Amino acid sequence: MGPGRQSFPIRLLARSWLSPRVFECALERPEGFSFLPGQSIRLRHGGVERDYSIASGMGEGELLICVRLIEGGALSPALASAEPGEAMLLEGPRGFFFHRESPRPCVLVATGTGVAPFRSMAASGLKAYTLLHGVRGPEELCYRGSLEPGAGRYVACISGQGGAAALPGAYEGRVTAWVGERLERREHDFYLCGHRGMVRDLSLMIDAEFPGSMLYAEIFD
Amino acid sequence: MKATIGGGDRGRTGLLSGERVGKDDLRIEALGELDELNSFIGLLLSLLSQRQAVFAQGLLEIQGALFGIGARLASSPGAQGSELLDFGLSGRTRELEAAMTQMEAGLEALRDFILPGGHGAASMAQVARSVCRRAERRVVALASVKMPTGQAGYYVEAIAYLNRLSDYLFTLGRALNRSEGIPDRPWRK
Repeated sequence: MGPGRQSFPIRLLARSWLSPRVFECALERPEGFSFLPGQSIRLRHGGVERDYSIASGMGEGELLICVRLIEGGALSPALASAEPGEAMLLEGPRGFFFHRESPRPCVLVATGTGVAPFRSMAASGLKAYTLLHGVRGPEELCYRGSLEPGAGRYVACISGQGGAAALPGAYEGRVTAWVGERLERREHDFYLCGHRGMVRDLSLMIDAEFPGSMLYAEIFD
Repeated sequence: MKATIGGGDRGRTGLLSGERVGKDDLRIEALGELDELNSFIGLLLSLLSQRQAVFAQGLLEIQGALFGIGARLASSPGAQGSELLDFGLSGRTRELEAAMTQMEAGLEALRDFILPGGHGAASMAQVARSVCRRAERRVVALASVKMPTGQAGYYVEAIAYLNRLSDYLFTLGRALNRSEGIPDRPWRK
């Protein structure tokens, strides 16, 4: 969105698996490419294009994206097997989801790979946030090592049966349940990134129980 | 981008700048008018005959500009990141003027009020014009409420664009009739 959106030919630099189904791609960062932590890029490869949140910080030399492998998916299988050096086209930065300075406490809520833009915010200097990461099992808690140190509160919300028991401090249940049960009733800045059900449920809850809060959301399914 | 999530099922919705507002908020009203205008322009595009196809590109650009205005109205004046919502509207207003001048060169000078109508596409251009005027009125109302914050310039470009767009759509209606050999029908008292 907005002016200055440009297309850049880039290369895949490296790929690493963060969980059995989720991998991270390190992409060449075009010279002069700037973005706000939370924004996304559009990646075009083999005639297919998809949007991915940037997971790297503003000061990092590479652009990181976090991809869930979907069998029969449009782009993820190709990215999962692409060799380093493979050429792609990057467009961006895109979107209006980015961190804003504010006196209100910051609550970051992700499901699955929706945690990627929050890793970018943390790597760009954001601190003292509450971060809720909703996953089915503890093996899906990617970027925990990057997100936990700067967090005032880091809560792994594990919805799969028995998953929370294996991880000390984890909450058994969905992120929406944690917010409903435990978040202080006051004005917050909410940043939601993940599937539409979570964004819908929290939007309604924020209207009802956290009036005056700000809400920024990025949805993907 | 997802079209719907259901977060507005209880009558509230979100602005790009983060606030949650009622769906009867002036900003949402204005956005609704822009949406209606844009939809009528889409309908107008679908009615263009082959002879009128030359006008399609201009209408597509207008649809894009209306999205830009909508994004701007959906963010409060002074909100962080407003610079991302600079769509170069004043340049687009000048483009509209230039296109209008070009259309007028092929039309007879107007001496009477003319009745909206004629060819289907031309009639739809007049519908879009009247909706555009309503959208303009809503944005002016919005500006009169929001301007005391010292952000007077925030809405000015949008108001100027909508004002010019109404004139453009009026002239376009005449040009579309002309391209089909349909004369203006003057108002006879």
